Amino acid sequence: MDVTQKAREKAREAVASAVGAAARVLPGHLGQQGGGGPARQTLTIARPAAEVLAAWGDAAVVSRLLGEVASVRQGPGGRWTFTLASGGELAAEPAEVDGGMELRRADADGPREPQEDVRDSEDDTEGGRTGEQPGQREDEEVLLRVTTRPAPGDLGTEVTCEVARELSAGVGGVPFTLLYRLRALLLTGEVPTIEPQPAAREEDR
Amino acid sequence: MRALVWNGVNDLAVETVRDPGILNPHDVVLDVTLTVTCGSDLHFIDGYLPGMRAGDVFGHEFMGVVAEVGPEVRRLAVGDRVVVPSFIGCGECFYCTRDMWSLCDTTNPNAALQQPVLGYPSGGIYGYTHPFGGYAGSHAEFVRVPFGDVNCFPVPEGVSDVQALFTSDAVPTGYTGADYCDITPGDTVAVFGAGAVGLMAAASAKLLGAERVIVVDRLPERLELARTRVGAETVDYSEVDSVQEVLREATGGRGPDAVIEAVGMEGHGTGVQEAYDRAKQALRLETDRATPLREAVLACRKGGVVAVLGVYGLTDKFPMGVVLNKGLTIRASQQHGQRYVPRLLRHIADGELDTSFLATHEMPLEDSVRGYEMFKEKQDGCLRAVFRP
Ligand SMILES: NC(=O)c1ccc[n+]([C@@H]2O[C@H](COP(=O)([O-])OP(=O)(O)OC[C@H]3O[C@@H](n4cnc5c(N)ncnc54)[C@H](O)[C@@H]3O)[C@@H](O)[C@H]2O)c1
Ligand SMILES: [Zn+2]
Ligand SMILES: [Zn+2]
Repeated sequence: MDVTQKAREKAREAVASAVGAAARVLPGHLGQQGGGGPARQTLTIARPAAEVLAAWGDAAVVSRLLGEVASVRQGPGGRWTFTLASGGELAAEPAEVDGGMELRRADADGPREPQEDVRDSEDDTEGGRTGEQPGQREDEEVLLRVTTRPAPGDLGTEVTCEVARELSAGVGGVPFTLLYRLRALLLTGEVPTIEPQPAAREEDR
Repeated sequence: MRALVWNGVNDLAVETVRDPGILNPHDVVLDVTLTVTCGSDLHFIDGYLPGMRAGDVFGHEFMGVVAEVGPEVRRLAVGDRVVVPSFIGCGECFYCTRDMWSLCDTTNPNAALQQPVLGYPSGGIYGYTHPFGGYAGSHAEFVRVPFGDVNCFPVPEGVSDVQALFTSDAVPTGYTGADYCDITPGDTVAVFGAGAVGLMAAASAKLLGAERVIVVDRLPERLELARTRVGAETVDYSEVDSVQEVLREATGGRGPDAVIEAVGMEGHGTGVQEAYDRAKQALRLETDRATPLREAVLACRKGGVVAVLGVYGLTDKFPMGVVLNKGLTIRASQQHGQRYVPRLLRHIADGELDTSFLATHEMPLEDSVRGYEMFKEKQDGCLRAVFRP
């Protein structure tokens, strides 16, 4: 392959990945593509874990973080209802996990029973794994999971956020945006926004 | 209000748009007094930098008077005359608290658009594409400024609007480049590009103690400014066979101690390399024509510093072997204006720094489409076109 051809392919790849990323996170494109499982990202937030988790435990805050993706309200009995921008509703119930919290899917009559845990049950003879990933079935019961670990030095808390497919389209842009907005909110008291603001052709936006 | 908007590649217009308002509690709305063209705007006007949407208000170098303050703003009042750095900082995150304001971790509402490309997104900027935040720009009667307390710098009496204006972007960018050069007495600094950024880099290198500053460009009126207003020596690259050779001879065979690159992705070159770069850029196979960047690396002495201020996208044929074998240090960033604005305003007030000569053309905002044409085509000696909304 000559230099020009190589450069052409490289440039095409870079552009495709940038355009793809843009399309995936721009409002209106959510839910179109992405992998099979939940999307996951980690950010460090210079605040204690307790403060980070208190924010995730507050439906009003989570609703603000989700912004254009969904709104969330907390009903009687602690149940959360997600109203998706793409239409439809999802119910979930909060639960504490080690160093974090989960919002587990709920049916009309209460939390769903977790399916059989497949963790460690599918080791193949060479010690590798086949079929489902560990915890995959269990993961399907979880709409949103947040876990924390202390960050080194005085950097605060490492926060990992996993978001189910319905909310993330399986792409990292959504958990990243949730964490980015939460970091902004905890550090500055604001979530960055540009809406509404001056522009011509507003009708096309 | 009236505003200059980008409607497509090489398609600008002044149109009526809604007024900005306070959206977050630390916001300020500024009544724009002066707003000015920057070489960075040319990258998306020419279509090399993606991420603009039709109808976007652009412009990022400006000053004005505070018209409205949000409920959490503490240090500003309506009527204050202020200048605002082009990158938006929050003052609270890891990067802002370490004085690296353009890397702010909280002010980019579209950070997810940048993450796949950069890995770790930059801060937001006014009027400079959606991956850089999508904020409305300053070529308008009013502009919203987030985190007013840390982003608005009161202009002292004795410093005029025009003098203060350039401490928003061109001067701190140039100063950043000179600061990166770790100048010690006796040093020679070469500057590629004699636009407002390059001229301010040259002036800053002098302020920071460089003995000799050599400015490289091909536009005679700009080289003239470098000599008369900055006290630099000049090289017209279109008149010499090899800039590298001229710089080597001018420095006793050693090479400049540091080189500042202030040209960017629209750089001109000559010969085969230029034809190659132009063809690839036209086909969008490479976003850059990186001639000056390569020359900066080649020209610098061994163990020296190359400070890159020019904006690049995807550059190929970067002479990494030269960097390695010559033991060069490469430093680059978008400008960290908030770090420098107070000291720059002091230098201006004390008469140690001259910025007003950058404003070669001043006109009402209504004429700004023409202003950009003059600036882009470098007509009539246009170095910067300043607009009065
Ligand atoms: N890092 C930052 O924060 C920051 C801020 C502002 C501007 N910039 C960038 O700085 C660069 C310069 O900005 P400006 O407003 O001065 O632009 P400008 O277009 O006014 O000036 C660029 C100059 O470079 C000259 N030039 C072109 N090819 C050259 C070459 N091969 N060798 C020497 N000179 C050459 C041109 O003749 C012109 O005078 C742009 O890339 C801009 O995007 C960066
Ligand atoms: Zn600029
Ligand atoms: Zn910040």
